[in-house]
Amino acid sequence: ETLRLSHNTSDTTSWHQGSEKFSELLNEATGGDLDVRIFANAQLSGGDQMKQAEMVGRGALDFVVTSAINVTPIVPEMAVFSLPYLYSGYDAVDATTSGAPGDRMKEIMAEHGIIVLAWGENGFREVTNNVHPIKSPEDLKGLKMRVAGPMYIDVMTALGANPQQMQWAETFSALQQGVVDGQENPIGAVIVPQRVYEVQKYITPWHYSYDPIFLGVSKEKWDGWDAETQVKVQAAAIEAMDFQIKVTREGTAAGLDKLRAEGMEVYEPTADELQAFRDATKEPFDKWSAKVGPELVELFQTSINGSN
Amino acid sequence: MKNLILKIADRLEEYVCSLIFLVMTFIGFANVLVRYLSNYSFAATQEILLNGFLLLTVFGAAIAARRGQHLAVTLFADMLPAALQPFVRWFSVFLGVLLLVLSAWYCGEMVMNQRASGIVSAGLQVPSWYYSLALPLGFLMIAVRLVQGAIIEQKERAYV
Amino acid sequence: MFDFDTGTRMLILFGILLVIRVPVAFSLGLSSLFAMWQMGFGLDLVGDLLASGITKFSLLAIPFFILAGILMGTAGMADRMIRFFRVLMGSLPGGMGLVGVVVSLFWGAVSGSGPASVAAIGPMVIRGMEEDGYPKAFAAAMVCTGAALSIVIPPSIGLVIYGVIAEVSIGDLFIAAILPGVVMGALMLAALPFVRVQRAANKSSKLAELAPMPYGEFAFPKRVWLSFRDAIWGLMTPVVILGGIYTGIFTPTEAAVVAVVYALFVGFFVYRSLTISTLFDALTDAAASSAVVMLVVTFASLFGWVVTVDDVVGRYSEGLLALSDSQWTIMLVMAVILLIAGMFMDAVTIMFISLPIFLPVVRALEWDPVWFGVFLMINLAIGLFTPPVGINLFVAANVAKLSLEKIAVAAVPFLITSTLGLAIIALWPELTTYLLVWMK
Ligand code: NA
Ligand code: NA
Repeated sequence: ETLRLSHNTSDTTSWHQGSEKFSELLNEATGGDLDVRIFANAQLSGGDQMKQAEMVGRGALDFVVTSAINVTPIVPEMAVFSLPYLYSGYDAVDATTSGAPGDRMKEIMAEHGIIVLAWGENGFREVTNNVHPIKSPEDLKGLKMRVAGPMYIDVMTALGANPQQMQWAETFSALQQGVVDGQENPIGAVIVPQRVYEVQKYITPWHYSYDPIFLGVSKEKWDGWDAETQVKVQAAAIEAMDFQIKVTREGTAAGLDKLRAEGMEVYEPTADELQAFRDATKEPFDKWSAKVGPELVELFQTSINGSN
Repeated sequence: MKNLILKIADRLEEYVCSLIFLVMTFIGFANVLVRYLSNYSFAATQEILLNGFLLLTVFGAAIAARRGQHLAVTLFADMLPAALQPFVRWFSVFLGVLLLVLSAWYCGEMVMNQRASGIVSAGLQVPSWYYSLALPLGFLMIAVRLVQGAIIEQKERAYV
Repeated sequence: MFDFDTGTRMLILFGILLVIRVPVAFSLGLSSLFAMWQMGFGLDLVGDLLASGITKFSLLAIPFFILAGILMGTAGMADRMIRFFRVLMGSLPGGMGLVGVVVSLFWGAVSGSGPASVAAIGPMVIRGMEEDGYPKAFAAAMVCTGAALSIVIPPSIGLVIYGVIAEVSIGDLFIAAILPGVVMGALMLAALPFVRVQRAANKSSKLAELAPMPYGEFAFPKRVWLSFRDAIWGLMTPVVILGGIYTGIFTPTEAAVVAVVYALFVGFFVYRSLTISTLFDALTDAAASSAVVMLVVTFASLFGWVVTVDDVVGRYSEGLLALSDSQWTIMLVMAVILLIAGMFMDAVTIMFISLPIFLPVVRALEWDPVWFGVFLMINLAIGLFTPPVGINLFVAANVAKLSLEKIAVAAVPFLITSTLGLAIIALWPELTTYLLVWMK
């Protein structure tokens, strides 16, 4: 049987590598019975990154690899992962995805018809701009920042910046011409592969928001498989996404060196400076915590505090 | 009174399109001004422009259907014997209506799916089906105007 | 005997529907639905695919530029600009043709989208050339070709996407594309003499009748100055748009909105030639014209989806690329595949489905990926004005009120010059590197 997997990005990313790994492993495990064909660039949903998850939810697609931010329109709770300064580092991230918070999110996703098989990584979102190095919230005052969604608008507003929503297709030339001064995105997933360094001078790895990805299968498909097949699919997914996380973290680490080599000025903030950003984003944190549900946020925070 | 309603119904999509076009222009321009002159911004500009574009396309296509503007290759059909031409003409209208009704049906299904899943728009966070409802309605409107346009054309030909 | 795969059957059905006069948009939609039904998969995605097919952000500039063009015509800005160019260059042989080519290239440096360029410059250039005695279809075809270069001459959304997929510097691509873009434009001039023969006979009478030369009583410099002063508001349009984009006040898409506001301002407050009634007509005409284009794009997205999922391009390409290992044959095969794909699909979709197949070949043959990006973009630019699906043609047919076939036939000379240009870029790859080397 040929199954269809859809993901958002081009075929050069770690998302694609993870998907290919999954296809390979599953093919091996089932002796060729289950064959996964991968469609990059959200081609199956006509290029719409938000729609893939909804299509999987109603069984129109089999598998999806997508990021939490892209499913928040259907599952608002998914915004919990990207709350500003929820996480302090990778240990905290891994504690939540492998613990009770990850399981809770899987339950919520299952209510929408999507079985989350494994968590992967898009990465921490970092800020770049063309005006000056960003060391404190004051440095963001008045900067025109291109952002990805409603929560980031609130965060940037709280930091004193002037947030702009703009399609990615136009962002590159907008950064080049100065229509906007800066943008925020993960290093390994976007800033390096999308060549943002060609049009941006300064980067601050301030880890202000995290975005996980996940490999999901339609509940309809999942329920139709026998227990043995489910075990094989589950195992292949976990191994593939572990591989994807490894590739992403290596890419991100190498990414900073690559950005330096390309002439970007990297400013790594101190713990005190990070605390200043965290304090300045308290208000949007509270506002969006209330939206995703305080109990859920508490569940995440308990797990994160336990990891320290 | 009845005449006025008929008159408005007859040109409904023209009023709709004009209004949407003006609103889109105003919001798009205001966004540029506000970004350039101040530190504020309209978060929902993108969403309003794109969905305005959607409305403009389906209702504009209805205007074009009535005016017979939809681009077709007439070269081969014109070479057919005169007796066959009305038949081919109406068969083509039938196929167009068939496609539009199917499109309206599938878009209607999408609207129901969106209502069921509760998906909201990325910017304004309103239910997505508010916007997509325009699609099935628009496609049906195009179908109606396509038939109307063909009848008008038929009458005009009768006088030639 | 009829053992065709689904994709091929879809293409055949599409052809049949076109022949029996079913509009292009509906032919695309019907043949795609048929293919989805045959594949037993995808019909439940039709609603979503249509919705995302319409809301393509990169095309948002089209309705605004069409509206701006209509408003500039209604307000009298276009008339005054044409008069100025006629006074300035009307005595040169092929004057307005030359003006048209220059304006097209100039606009290509502003816009990254072919159809938006046709909408922006089409009404003015086509009218100007027509009044200079060129056949209208020829003028429209020239605008289609010149505007197609918008995706070659930077900025270009196409080159940005190529740069990301092929992992090549987008800045380098932009610089590399400048000279080839200019060469393509210069070659367009070669098509001009071929049409002059037809118009020589009625030129003078038609010109005088259509647009009396203003200020005939004055000497040349004075005439130029007076008509320049008349046309200043119109001539300022590119200055406002270009200036706004290059100083970072607005994006190319927003520029289209600014152009509308500018035309409204001039029409209502400077020339006072617009009224509520003419504004209403302009709005509905622009809505209908852009919807005609967008409906084709919408149903073409279903078509592109089937081609992607059924892997039509992949199967055809692999078969054809396996035919030979001569790099010239492979280059020719790629060009032919891109030209055929360009007849049916938009540039971005074509890149997504063909590059995964082409790029490994490019690397294996050690071709310069920057050069290949420019080569690819010129191929895709040609696809914008080849029937049956050529978005530039659709916009031009709309703004010029001409049939598709007329413009498509008139575009043949430009198809020849463009193919010649493509051959020059293929044989002389250094054309893409001169500027890069010089700048480093
Ligand atoms: Na351009
Ligand atoms: Na074409």
